[in-house]
Amino acid sequence: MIVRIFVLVALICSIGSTTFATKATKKTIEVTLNWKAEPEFGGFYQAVLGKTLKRSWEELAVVEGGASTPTIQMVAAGKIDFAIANGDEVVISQALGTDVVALFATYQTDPHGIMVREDSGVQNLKELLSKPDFTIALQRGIGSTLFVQKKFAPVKAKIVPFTGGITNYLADKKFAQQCFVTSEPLAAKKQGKPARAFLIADEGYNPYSVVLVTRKQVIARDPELVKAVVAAVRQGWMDYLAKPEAANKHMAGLNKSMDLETFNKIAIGQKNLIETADTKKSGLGTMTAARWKILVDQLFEMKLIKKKPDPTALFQNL
Amino acid sequence: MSTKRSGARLEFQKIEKQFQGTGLVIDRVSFCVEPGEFVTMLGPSGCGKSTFLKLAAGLDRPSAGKVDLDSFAQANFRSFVFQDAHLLPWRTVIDNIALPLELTGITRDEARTAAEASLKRVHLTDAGHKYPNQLSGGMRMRAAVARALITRPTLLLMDEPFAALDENTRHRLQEELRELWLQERMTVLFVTHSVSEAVFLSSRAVVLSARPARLLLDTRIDLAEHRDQNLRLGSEFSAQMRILHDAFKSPEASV
Amino acid sequence: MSRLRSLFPPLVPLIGFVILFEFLVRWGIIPSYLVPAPSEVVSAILEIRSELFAAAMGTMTAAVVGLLLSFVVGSSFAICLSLSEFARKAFYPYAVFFQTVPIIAVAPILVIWFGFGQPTVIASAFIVSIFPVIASTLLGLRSTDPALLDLFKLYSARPLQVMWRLRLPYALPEIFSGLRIAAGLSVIGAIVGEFIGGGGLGSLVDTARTMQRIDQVFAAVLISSLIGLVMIALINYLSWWALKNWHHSERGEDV
Repeated sequence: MIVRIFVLVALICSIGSTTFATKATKKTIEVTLNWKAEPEFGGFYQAVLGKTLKRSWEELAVVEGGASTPTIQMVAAGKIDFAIANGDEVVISQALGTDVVALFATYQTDPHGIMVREDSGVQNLKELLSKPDFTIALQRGIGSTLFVQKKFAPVKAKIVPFTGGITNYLADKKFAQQCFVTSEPLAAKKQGKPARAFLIADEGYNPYSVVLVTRKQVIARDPELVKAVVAAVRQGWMDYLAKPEAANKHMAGLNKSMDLETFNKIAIGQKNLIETADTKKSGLGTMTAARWKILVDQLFEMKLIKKKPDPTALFQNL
Repeated sequence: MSTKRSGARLEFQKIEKQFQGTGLVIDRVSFCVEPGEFVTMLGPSGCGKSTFLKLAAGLDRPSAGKVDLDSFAQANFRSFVFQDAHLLPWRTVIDNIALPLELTGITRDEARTAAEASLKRVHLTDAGHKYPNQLSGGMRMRAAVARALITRPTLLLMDEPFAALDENTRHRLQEELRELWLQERMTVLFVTHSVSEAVFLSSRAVVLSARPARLLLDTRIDLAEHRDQNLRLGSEFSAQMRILHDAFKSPEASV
Repeated sequence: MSRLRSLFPPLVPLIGFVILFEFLVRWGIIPSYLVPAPSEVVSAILEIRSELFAAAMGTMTAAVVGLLLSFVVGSSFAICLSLSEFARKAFYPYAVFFQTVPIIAVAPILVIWFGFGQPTVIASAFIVSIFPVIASTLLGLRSTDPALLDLFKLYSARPLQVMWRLRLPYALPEIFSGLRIAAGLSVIGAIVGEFIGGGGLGSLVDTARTMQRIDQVFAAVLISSLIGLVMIALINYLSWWALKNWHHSERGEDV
């Protein structure tokens, strides 16, 4: 009898507490990254830490990605509402008929680059790609890889798959690899093998990078929410650019492959790729149709898309 | 006339056999098989008859007592025929028969020639190039016997070889086996649970009790040398069967 | 004719499935960036047919070489283990390791050891496919009929003779069964190796995926399954040729 009363009371308490809990917690709006926690996502983490989302019933959260997280396809399929992708992925996706759209461009200058060991003696990209005894690890099928291979054809160096990290680079001075110019070269220098990094944007291919994307359907469903998310992200980045320490500490706890010192160094180094004279005028993360058009033309020429989407439909500056 | 002895002499001296788990299987049994004798061993199932064959084959050792074999220094003097013919399924009949010779190092061609001869003696000449799965049970058994005979053994051990065959085939093979023995005069130790088979085949029969096996009866079978099916219908046959039956059915047999 | 007729039943669901999917995608019920219509897969195959063919050849070569290595190393290892009970108990658990190691995590290490290109791909195919060979060969070798082992013992066969003339042929059906499984796995291993090491269908899948060309991904996946099927068909043929005379599995008794 006593056992029965006890069970009944426990049941009532647990039901009561869950109802109370549901009332107390907010709905989580998740932003899914396309890599692990690194300074390139600093502003998003800062938005969460600083609770910059001005909504009563929702709060922001960041979900880490991995080596091959297909963020753009997950958004297109409706599995997630907000994610990070590269500008050229947005173009390709829309060219395939989806309604994926860009909201916020973290990097005005794409930090994708190729780095080679300083002690290899190579001075520029053209030289690197012409050396048959060199190996270059590049991610296959992406715009930057195809652009570089096309611009510097015929490519005599051996192209192999890129799978992250700098192990092969450290071991072999004739091994070059793609990188984010703001981060891997720093790690390389720390490990005693300083790098010479070449920015692909300097060669003429410069899509918006680390772009917050969603579907037009999501905007139509709740335009105020999307506006608030963009505003929160913008504020997060502004705060992160001013004071990155707190977010860096948080991210360093999530991603043990780099130490806090490196996080801080990268955060400083990437500033001028994110904040430019244009963004100071029109707002952090805003985009222009002119730049999207250049990208569309480039991708069409590289045969990555079969038809050209309307550049103005690719983005919305909310 | 060759003075070479054609049969081994086999003596079991106070044999005891224990198995782990099953306990004592053979309880101080002694008997002797003289050269050239055809001895059948009878007893209820599981009484240890097959164990005697294994001891004689050298595949097992007694827990106590001794197995004394006088083989007149002939290598490979023993052959064994199992209840299931146990031919190698991936070899043709002729190659199966040739196997024992191949194992001693004789070339395949030489072995095959000898195997052809052995095939003839068991009346299987047409089946040489067939595979075991293409033969009937009786033909497989003939092939197993041919394999056993190819090494010209002085001791032939047979473990209920005809038990799985139908009656007609069984009777025919019994006749053929007896004729072969009359020609070769090797020593044969033949295990069976069929009284009529024992009487038909052997010159001497040994009856064992149930486990642990003891010797119940050791008797000569006094019948004509050349035996055919008609013999089974005669009164002498029944009389011999009766003697063995009584030993079988005696209270001591199943204790 | 009956062989062709037996192909018909499995084709029915396939054709139905293809027609159904074609309509689902054409009518927009399933968006084509998630799952391509069968017609789109076909047109993708035609579009990149020369790259597909070259890639398929690369993957198949690596898978076949990896499988051959698995067979040689795996069966040798199993033979050694079968000769000593202690060796088997001591080393077999480590063979299981090959089964459980997550190849997709190990592949980047393989690149460090073997470099980019075919050596890594072959190594990956080898690691993934060796365990079924070891397991099935060992099982086959340990399942030899005890009566046949007795027979060989009776004829004083040397261990090498027992292995070559008895245990290995006896184990063949089991070995082929393991090879079939290993064949499918070697293709998977090759493709995983190619993700990291480059070349072949793995590289093609990775590129197509990055370019968001799901139709090309499906095309490559289809071709890789075909490679697996071709390899298994080859092994089936070898199995039929080796076992047709004697093993029930190839004589069509029980299907």
